[in-house]
Amino acid sequence: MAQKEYIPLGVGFYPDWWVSNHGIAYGKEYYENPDYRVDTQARMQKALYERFGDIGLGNPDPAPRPLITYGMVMLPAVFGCEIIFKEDALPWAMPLNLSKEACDKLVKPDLPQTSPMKEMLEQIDHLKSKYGKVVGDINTTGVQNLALKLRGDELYIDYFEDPEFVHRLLKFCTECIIDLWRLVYPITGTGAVDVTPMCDPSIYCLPNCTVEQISGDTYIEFGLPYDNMIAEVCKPVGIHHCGNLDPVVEGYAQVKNLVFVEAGFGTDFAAARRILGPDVAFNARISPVLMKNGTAEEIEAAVKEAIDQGDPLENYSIDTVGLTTGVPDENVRAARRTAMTYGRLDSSR
Amino acid sequence: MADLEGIKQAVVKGKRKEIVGLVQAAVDEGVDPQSIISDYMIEAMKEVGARFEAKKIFVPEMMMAARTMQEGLGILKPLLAAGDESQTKKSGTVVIGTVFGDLHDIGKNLVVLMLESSGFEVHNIGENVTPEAFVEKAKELDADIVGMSSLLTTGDPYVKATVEALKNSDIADRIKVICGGAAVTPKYAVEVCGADGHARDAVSAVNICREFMES
Repeated sequence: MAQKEYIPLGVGFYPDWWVSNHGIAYGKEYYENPDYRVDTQARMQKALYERFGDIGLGNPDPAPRPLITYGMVMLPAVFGCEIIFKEDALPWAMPLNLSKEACDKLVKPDLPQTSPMKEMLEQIDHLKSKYGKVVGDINTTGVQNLALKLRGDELYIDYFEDPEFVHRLLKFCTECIIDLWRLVYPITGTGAVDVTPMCDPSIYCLPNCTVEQISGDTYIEFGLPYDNMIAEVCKPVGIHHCGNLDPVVEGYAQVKNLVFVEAGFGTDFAAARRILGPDVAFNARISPVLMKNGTAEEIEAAVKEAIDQGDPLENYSIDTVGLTTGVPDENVRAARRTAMTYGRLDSSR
Repeated sequence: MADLEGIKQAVVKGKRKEIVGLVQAAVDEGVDPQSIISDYMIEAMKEVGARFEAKKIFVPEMMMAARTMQEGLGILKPLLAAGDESQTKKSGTVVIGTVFGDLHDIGKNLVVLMLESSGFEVHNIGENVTPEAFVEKAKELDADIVGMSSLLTTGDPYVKATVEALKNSDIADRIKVICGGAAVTPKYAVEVCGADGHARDAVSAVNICREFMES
């Protein structure tokens, strides 16, 4: 592998940006029609090249990418959550709001025989027969994410009033997540593609989107045991954390076999790196609100600040995910160019 | 002797199972129900809000505090209703929802809990709500305040469309409009969209709604 010249800075556009700027729609077809998805991926790469080829994005002549993905809603869908598909948004699972009794009666699904995983396996067969391979994987969703989809917000009350029930539910969710990983990983050899492009795709990346809502103590009591159950089986692992990492970083430092962490804006990136240790690769995220509403100068300053907090930089990256309609192109360019110049790994800064 | 400080601490710490006994004991000893609410429970929620803002507590703790407050109010409200009717006057009526295109709900639900706990009559009209539905519900429920939430920057056009729909409706002079959510900045809400206020979190939402009602 070629040595990096500068800190990688990823750019991820939200579906509404694709619809409004290039007429490229996500929606149900993107997730359920593999040929449409492969075609869409190619159109995206060409569109990105035409618009941002000067900063190294896109590809004028992309090879077919036989991608599998199901957003973050496969397991919620398997359990019967209503899935809202929209052309200009990522799919969203509506919570079931089950009673504790109903949660306790849940049984682990036979994933290969349960919709929509059954249909996803048919998609995989189709792509393999056509292209000889598949790329990507299926986002398992995180343990607490899944528990919230099953139980609803009441889970947060249960943390205080019925911790034994919570542990039963979280353990159940953990086992389902491991089952999904065990089914998909042997097919694709990856476990991070459908979570974040900034992580080594070959590891398993835990999507801990809702952990931002709980305290460090709550994470250590209710999150860490189950993340470690996963980390024992799916090792090595990474963690995608939405938002500010600071309250839970001490807990994350106790996750076994941890090799990657991704943190949202507001995080003290330098402190997080110190606590997690230099061997844990780290991706720092720039605020999508700043990317949309800030000036190019403000974007440059934010990227520089993230770089200044990033030591050691050899396994450090930055991304600007979730860019929506209205994000100025010059802001995207400012972010990429700052990483390419200020973020040069041979510079003394 | 009534343990009024205990009532306050029960709310702050989310001791839902203790609040009923403490409030009932205070009532039995003749403590004014309105005083229990105003001087202890609402003060407790202010402390909860400050702790949330300071990241000393998080969403579950805040939900527990709000639920505890509601348990206490469950005992006190009927007593107020049976007494001086003027004291039961609600703080205001709020219609609240997540804007069209956005299905996120927990931040908005937290605002609902906090507003209810602070004496507002709150009508949660859910997620993915069109501008027209906001206007229709505000009219139907004779709202004083309309609140909208948007987590993603994709919601910006719908925040603007909703504020404009409310401000161009025939109830514009009777309502105040407040916006919040991770994607909505104060500048965007007030200067670009024309909202009357912006709330950075559930605590500031309550404070701003109170200011609206006092003005």
